[in-house]
Amino acid sequence: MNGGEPTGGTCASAGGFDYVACWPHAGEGDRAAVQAFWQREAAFDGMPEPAARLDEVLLYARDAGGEIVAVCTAKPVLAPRLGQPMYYWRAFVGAAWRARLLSRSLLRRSCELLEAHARQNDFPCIGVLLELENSQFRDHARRATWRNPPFTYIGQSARGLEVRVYYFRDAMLKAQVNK
Amino acid sequence: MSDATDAPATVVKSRGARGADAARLEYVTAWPPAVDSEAAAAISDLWRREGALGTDEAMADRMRQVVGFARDTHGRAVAVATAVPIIAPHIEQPVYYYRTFVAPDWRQSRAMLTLLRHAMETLKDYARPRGFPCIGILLELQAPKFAEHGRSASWRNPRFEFIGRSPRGYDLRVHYFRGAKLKPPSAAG
Repeated sequence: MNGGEPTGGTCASAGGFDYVACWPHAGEGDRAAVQAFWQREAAFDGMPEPAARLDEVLLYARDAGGEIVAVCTAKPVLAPRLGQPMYYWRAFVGAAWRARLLSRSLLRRSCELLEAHARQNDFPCIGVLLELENSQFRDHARRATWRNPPFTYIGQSARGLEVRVYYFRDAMLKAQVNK
Repeated sequence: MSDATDAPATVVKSRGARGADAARLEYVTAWPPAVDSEAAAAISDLWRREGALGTDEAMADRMRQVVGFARDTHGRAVAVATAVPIIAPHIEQPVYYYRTFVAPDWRQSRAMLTLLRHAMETLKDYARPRGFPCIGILLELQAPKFAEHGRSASWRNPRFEFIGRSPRGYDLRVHYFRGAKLKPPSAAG
C-alpha cells in the first residue's frame, strides 16, 4: 500500500475482509491509500480522480494482505425529484474482487455509518440515494424493495439509471418540500 | 388490470374504534370491487351527505373502484377506500392508486389507518397469486394534516416511503408488496 499508514477510526473484520471507516473525514494515510488503489485500478478511466472525491471517502475494505479491494464514497446532494438532502453513495470494487459479492456488505456498513453520523447531527441528510450504474442490477436485485438494507425503488435518474433510496429511521422530511 | 372473471373475496373484520366515540366499526374489503346494493346505498349516502363527489356519474365511477369501507353499528358508512390500477408517474410501474374518504366525525379516529391496512392486505392477497399485476400501492396525500403530521420520510407501520411530490404538489408515498419485482418498461408501460 502506498502513501503511508491508514488511519481510519473504526475497523471491523468479516468474511476475510477488514472494513475501515473514514467518515466524515479520511486521514492523510487513508486518502493516500485510496488514491493509490484508484490509480492502480484505473478507476477513473486512467485519469486522476476528481479532487473532491477523496473528501467523500466513507469506508474501504482490505483483504487479508492489507490491500484495498473496494472503496465507498458518499456526498450530500439535494436529490432531484425528492427535493430532500440525501447521501449519494458510490462504490468501486477492484477488478479481482467483483465476483465476491462485496457490494451488499459495503452498502450495509455504509448505511450504518452514515445513519449513526446523521442521527448524532440532527439528520443533515435523511437517507442514502443509489443510482445503479452496474449492469448486474438490471438482471438481478429486481425486487421493488430490497430487504437488507431496505432500499426502495423511486424511479429512474436523468441518465436513465435506476434510483433507490433508504431513509434513516426517525428522519423527517425537511421543510422545503412542505412549501 | 384486475381480472373480471375472478370471484372477489370479501373480507369483513370488526375492530374497536378509538376516540370519544367508543362504538365499533366493521370493515369490509373486497378486490376486485364487489359492493352489494345495501353497501352501495350506504357509501352513496356518505359521499352525498358530505359533498365528497360532485355528481351521480362521478359516484358511479368511483363506486366501481371501492376496495373497502367502514360502517358503524347503524350500518352507516363512515369511511370509504378506492383503488385504481395506474402506471405511476415518477416510478413508471403499475400500482394501485389508493384514496380514502372519511366522514368528519371519524377523522380523529383510527378508521382511516385501519381501513388502509385491511385494503393493503386485500390488494396484496389478490396481486400475489396473479404475478403482481400491480406491484404496490401509491398514496397522494391531500389531507392538510399530512403537511404537519406523518412527516417521517419512511412510515413504518404500514411501510410507505416518500418518493416525491405529485404535479398537484402533494406528497407521494409508495408501498411495494413483499416479493413484488419491478416490471420491465415494456410490461409497465
